[in-house]
Amino acid sequence: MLTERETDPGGDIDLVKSAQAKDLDAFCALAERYARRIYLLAFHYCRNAQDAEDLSQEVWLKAYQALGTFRFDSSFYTWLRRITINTFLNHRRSSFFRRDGQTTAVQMLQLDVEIPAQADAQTENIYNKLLLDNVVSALSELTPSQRLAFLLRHYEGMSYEEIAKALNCSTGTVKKGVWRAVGKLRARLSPDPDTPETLTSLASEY
Amino acid sequence: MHNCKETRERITELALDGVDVRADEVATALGHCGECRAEFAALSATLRITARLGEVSAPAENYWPGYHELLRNRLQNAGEEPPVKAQRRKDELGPLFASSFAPLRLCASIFLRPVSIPLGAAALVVCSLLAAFAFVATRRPPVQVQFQAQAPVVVHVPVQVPVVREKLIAKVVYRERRSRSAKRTVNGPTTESTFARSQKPRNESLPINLTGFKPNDEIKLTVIKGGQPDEK
Repeated sequence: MLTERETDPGGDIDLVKSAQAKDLDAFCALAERYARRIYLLAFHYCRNAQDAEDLSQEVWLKAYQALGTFRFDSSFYTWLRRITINTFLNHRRSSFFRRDGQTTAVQMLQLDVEIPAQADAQTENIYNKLLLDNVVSALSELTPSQRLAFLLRHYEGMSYEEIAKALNCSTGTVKKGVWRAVGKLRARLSPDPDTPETLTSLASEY
Repeated sequence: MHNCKETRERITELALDGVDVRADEVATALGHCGECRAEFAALSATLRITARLGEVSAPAENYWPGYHELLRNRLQNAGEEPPVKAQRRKDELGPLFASSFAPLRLCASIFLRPVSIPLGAAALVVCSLLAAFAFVATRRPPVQVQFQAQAPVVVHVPVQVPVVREKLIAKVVYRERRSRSAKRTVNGPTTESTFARSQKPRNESLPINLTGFKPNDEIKLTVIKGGQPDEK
């Protein structure tokens, strides 16, 4: 059994209890605390800002309706993340996403181009936009299962066992999916697979 | 002993663990294999780039007040409002359904409304309906316009079809072959064989006389060997 300190690293318990008592402000405070993480997870999964907004808002609505079932066995965010994953899985085979499988038209980003130190904000924004489009395009080449497993492992830091439990599959399946996802991303994002040192030196600048 | 195949799986795990991995742990796993080190470096760089996606794709700060305001409104109507997707579909298809059902709703409101009318008017309406029904039932069937089918235009086009003719050519070649008797004639007179002598016509002038012959009780068959003159 987890202690209250372990399950409540950010002091969520009071807010959750208030929200369970139909305190909308308390629930909105929880939403403000975790909205960015849920939104980014949704954005990485469906790769579209509008879909990410719809999906993340649906997660919060489901969480609000199911808040009475939260038993404080885990942290609030762990429970919320489970709802998020289930929402993703529910929409995986539906036509919810506007650009599922769509690839961006942006050409391959020249990752070996160094940003000058005195580059202005506009140049940096353009570079970030290219980076965003390129990584999103690379993510779109993964299958939904691979993408979700990779996101949970890489961005959420979940263990393979936790991911397998959440996705209702075996640990080996999750491992294989993550490794394949990493391999695909490496092949897609690496400018020259034969000379990864260039990529390494570039990445070290970030 | 370093095994690249086994190390690749470990490399992915080390790269996914991020920059917190200790250098000695990496060195232990990778050994002195240059390819594995390069692979680890490439994977780490790729994952660092993807990690930047969170920073780059995060909405601006002025986005969140509107997001939370929308969420608050939806939460307030959570008991009544359908899910987001259904609401989106309803918003998109709502005008279409409304325009489709409007005439039906109008007809229903006209004909299904209970109306009190005088008895004479009701009788008139009933009679009119009956008359109309009788007219429709007794009128001649509409003249069916018969379309004269146009005779199909037959176009004769001579087409030459190549026919493959097979011709069998048989040629019998006879080869003259010297008979043994001819050889013998060429070489000199020889005695005739028994078969040749038996084939010679007998003297027909002599009558066949069986006097002096006794019938034998035992039949003795004699096989005379021989063949055609040309047989080898």
